[in-house]
Amino acid sequence: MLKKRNFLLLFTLLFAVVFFLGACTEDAGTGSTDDNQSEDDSSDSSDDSSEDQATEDTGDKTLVFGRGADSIQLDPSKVTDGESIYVTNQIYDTLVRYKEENTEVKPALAEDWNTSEDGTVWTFKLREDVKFHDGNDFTAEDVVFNFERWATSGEFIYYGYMFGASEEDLGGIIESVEATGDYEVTFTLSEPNAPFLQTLAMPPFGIASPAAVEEHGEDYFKNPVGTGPFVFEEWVPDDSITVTKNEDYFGEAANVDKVIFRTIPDNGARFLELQAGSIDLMTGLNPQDIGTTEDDSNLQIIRRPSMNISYMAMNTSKEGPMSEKLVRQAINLAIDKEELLTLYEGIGKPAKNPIPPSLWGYNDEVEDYGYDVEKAKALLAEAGYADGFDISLYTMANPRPYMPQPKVTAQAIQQMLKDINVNVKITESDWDTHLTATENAEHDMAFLGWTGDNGDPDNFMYVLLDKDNAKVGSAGNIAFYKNDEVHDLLKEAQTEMDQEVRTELYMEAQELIHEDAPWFPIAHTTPPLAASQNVTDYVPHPTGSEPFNLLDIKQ
Amino acid sequence: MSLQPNPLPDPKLAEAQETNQSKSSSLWGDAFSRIVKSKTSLIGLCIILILIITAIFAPLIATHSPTDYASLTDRYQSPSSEHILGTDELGRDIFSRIVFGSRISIQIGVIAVGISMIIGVLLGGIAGYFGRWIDQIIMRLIDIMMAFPSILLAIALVAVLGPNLRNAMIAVGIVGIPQFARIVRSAVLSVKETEYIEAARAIGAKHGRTLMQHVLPNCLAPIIVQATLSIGTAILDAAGLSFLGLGAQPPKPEWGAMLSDGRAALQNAPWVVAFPGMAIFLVVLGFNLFGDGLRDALDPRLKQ
Amino acid sequence: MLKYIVRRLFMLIPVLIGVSILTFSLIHLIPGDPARSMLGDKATEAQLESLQEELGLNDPYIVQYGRFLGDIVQGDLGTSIQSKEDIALQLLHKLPATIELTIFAMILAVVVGIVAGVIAAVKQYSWFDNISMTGALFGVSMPIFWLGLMMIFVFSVQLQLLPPSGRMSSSIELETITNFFLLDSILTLNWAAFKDTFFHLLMPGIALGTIPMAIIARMTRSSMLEVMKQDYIRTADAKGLKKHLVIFQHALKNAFLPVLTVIGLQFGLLLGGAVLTETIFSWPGVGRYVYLAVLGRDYPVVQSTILIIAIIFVMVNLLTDLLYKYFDPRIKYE
Repeated sequence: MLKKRNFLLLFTLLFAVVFFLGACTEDAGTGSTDDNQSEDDSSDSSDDSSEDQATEDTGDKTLVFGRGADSIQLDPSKVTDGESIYVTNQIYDTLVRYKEENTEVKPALAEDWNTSEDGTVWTFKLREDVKFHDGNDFTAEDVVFNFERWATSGEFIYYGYMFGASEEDLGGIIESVEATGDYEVTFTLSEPNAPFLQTLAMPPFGIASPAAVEEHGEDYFKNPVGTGPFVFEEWVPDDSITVTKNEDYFGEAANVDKVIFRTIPDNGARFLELQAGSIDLMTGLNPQDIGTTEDDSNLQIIRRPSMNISYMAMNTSKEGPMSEKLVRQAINLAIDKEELLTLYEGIGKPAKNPIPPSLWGYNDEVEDYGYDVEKAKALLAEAGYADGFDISLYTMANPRPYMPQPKVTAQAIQQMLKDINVNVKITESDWDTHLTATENAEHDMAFLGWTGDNGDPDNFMYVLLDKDNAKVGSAGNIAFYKNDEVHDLLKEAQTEMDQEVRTELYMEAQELIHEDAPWFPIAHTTPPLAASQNVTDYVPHPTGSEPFNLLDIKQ
Repeated sequence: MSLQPNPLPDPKLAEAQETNQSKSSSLWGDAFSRIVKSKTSLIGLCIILILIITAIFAPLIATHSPTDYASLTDRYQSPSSEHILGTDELGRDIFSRIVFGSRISIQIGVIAVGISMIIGVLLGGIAGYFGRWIDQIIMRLIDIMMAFPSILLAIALVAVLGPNLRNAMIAVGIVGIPQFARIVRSAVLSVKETEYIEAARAIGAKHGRTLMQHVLPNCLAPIIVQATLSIGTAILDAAGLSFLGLGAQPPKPEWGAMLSDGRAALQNAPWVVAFPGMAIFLVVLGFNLFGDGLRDALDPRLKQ
Repeated sequence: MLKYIVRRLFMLIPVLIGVSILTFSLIHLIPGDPARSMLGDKATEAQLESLQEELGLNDPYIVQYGRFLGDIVQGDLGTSIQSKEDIALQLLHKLPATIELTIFAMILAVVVGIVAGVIAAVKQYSWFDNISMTGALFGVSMPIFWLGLMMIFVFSVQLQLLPPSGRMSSSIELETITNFFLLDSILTLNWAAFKDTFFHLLMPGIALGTIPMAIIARMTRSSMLEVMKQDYIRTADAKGLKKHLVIFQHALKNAFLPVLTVIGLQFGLLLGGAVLTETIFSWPGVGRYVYLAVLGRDYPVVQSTILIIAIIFVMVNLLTDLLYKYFDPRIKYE
């Protein structure tokens, strides 16, 4: 009897809820009466989608790529974030491209090129069989259009940055770009630039369709049109970007029909999705998940070759201990790099120079400071800081490819420096805030790192340690290290075309930098990607992204 | 996070006070015996006492340093006799960190609720006592604050002040002001009309003095109940802020921050997340149980 | 009634103006430079300045506030600094995600909460009463971010039953009409999508719904108990009316009012709780949107979104009040 009552009670309540729900949906229904006509459309399109599914069954290959953040813009000339570049690298081509495994260049939109003796005039012969995704032919005029566009405003960050353009001189070292034929382009430079060709292969210099740029204006970044192996299809902000195979690609056409870039911010959640099979490939693997991946017969680890560095910069411009060379050397001696690197879970190799050993010009003669607390104490005493001091360490909260666990690394250093009575206060902020703070020289010490853009030592040394880049407010050199001798060497290496001479110059600069110790260099990493075993022929590029036309996926 | 302004809003509490001001001494006596009789509030009281004892004797109870690791190779060890709750991402002993974290929790509870209470009681007291346009202005301000979900307001405040534990406590404190203000206002409204207060005013007592010496003390019961319940909420809120990286900074063993740092290893070392969360849960439960008990005890409506 | 509604709407105006001033001034006190965030790692000083100019960040605050208010009134919520997208357009995607999650959590909370509360009251001091009220006590003390992570560990890592993130698997194709995925999958009769979306909703829904569920259960129980003690119920009971009829016709109807208030209050607060839940479950909704915008100093997004959430919150509370007055015969409209 009682049971029956309970059942009735539950039943009535459920009924009430269902009724309530019914009322709600009814509301929604009446609210959208003017959508009635689109209902026909939607039934049509649901037919379409079932057709899609059918074709999928007959062998459409889709690669789902999981990553931590959405792209900012799909106009590569305006961005510097890796997540935008990852996608634009599929949509656009550059005049030359990097080879699959290193930063040597190979033909892409340009078939052939030559340079004048003094290195100031470059002539490129272009392919004649290339079409933009919008159907327009690719010609020399289009190259000129793009370069002229980039030289019109400071918005085009990498252009300014690589070609020395500034607000006063928007063109930088590129004096002119001319179409000297339907399929021939000539660049005239104001001074020789050794890394010029390498630079042109950087994804930010992807050639966009002038028609699309003009048509979309401000909104071009969400309607990208290039010549690359994949055609842009759809962008759902913070969720996914879809690109489809370019059947008419002039190079090797893609093996997969569709690539979906999915944003899953949490590293752990992304890895779970990979294990569950809902994504095929992911970046930003937590280092502690490497073991799990290797043990899983359905998964594989793919290691990106190393072309980066992580370091702790010491702000030499600040009054106090950090302006003393002896103190900076003492810090170098007081941190046990080997122990610290256990936090890299096997993906990091100890660093002693500002450039990675895979680059030419690396000075292996330089001997790292080593771990020696007594010597560190002695140096501190010599500098007049026998009793130690308080100091700040700024760190980013988010993992970076060159530093998988910045928070933990900071805390380990904090504890190690206690041994020499240096009391570290950690200031942790998100990536943008961290950059702003360090560029404004607010820090005593700060973590940062760099992934090479074009495989030239200049791209590390000049950017990160030259006095030209030590301007408060926009510094790349956040140690604010100013050494005229180093500056002269780096400047000379920039305009010198002979690589052997340049090697000598960089070697010498590295020795000077080692002695001055503006950094505590930490590690060079091989950032791991995790993938399903079904993904084959994926060759990660040292610069951090690569076109996906060569990889394949087994169904 | 602050999903419960307080676990069981009780609009009738303040009204009930009306009838009971004269018998306040027996009220407190009754309240005490009620609490002792109620099993749940005793459990709550026990949890709170354990928390306080842990905080005081933390150095004696902890087996390891809360902030220093012994070796980086000891990272992510599962619970064992050496580390009874395992070790975290730096190889630190989780048990010791939780033990020392109790100090931070008490600090958060006291400071954040202190801020809410002092400002809230003053605003509510003034609004209720003086009435008219002062009341209007204060209550409209309170309405505006209440128009924001409290976590959003707290996040925005921390973003303005800068992310650290102190600012997180301030933000949580500010977000809690409206609760106190409203409760105190309605309590004052009912107390104000009693003969006792009118008598004080009649013999020429100044407003400030009447408010502080006669009106507010008679509103003590709802304030105490609200404060107890708010401590739980404040700890939860501050832990949430720390979890989002907007509160305690390393190497502070704050429970929410510990949980957030352990997230990366959820799959391989779930204990790094599990235990600090359990600590938060237990402490908040303790304050909620005790607060509930207090309210039942101080609420004469349930007297039989 | 109509007069009362109009009056209440009028009273909202000063609150909304206050809310907009508070939002605006809070956000402009935030340190950090949005132009900087926008340009990325490698921008130059000159680029920064020109962008600051373009965004009007150099104008006096009062001018910026006026512009803000004017735009809002015209329905223009501004443009995100980070994504350069129209904020109103982005909210069109993100609000449904959050509202869907919130409604799902609320339905869960109301159904389970009321059922548990009623049964607990009717069978006071029974084992069901004890267990469900202990559960409710646990529920109100729950750090939902911890609950969420623990659920992921159990149901996604260990049992591999439920998806740990997102609203829908990428392999599912769904025609979106309203951007409420459950609704869309029903409208397009896409059962695969319905099932997938439902599974994605479960864990975040439970995490978000736990606290209101517990509060509603406790509220329902205590107001039921109170009503059942009153004379007319006793009379009805004594007259020999069937017990369940008594419960429904009288007790639950009267006990529902205080519960309604709680539901309204909790609903708005769920919008705030979504920040944590969405962060944990990578849910592409408004909560995470605001949180990321705060971290990225995306002024316009934080301003507009917090304002919109506050307006929704205020409206929900107003609606609850009106419903309350509508259902409660004792209250007259002044």
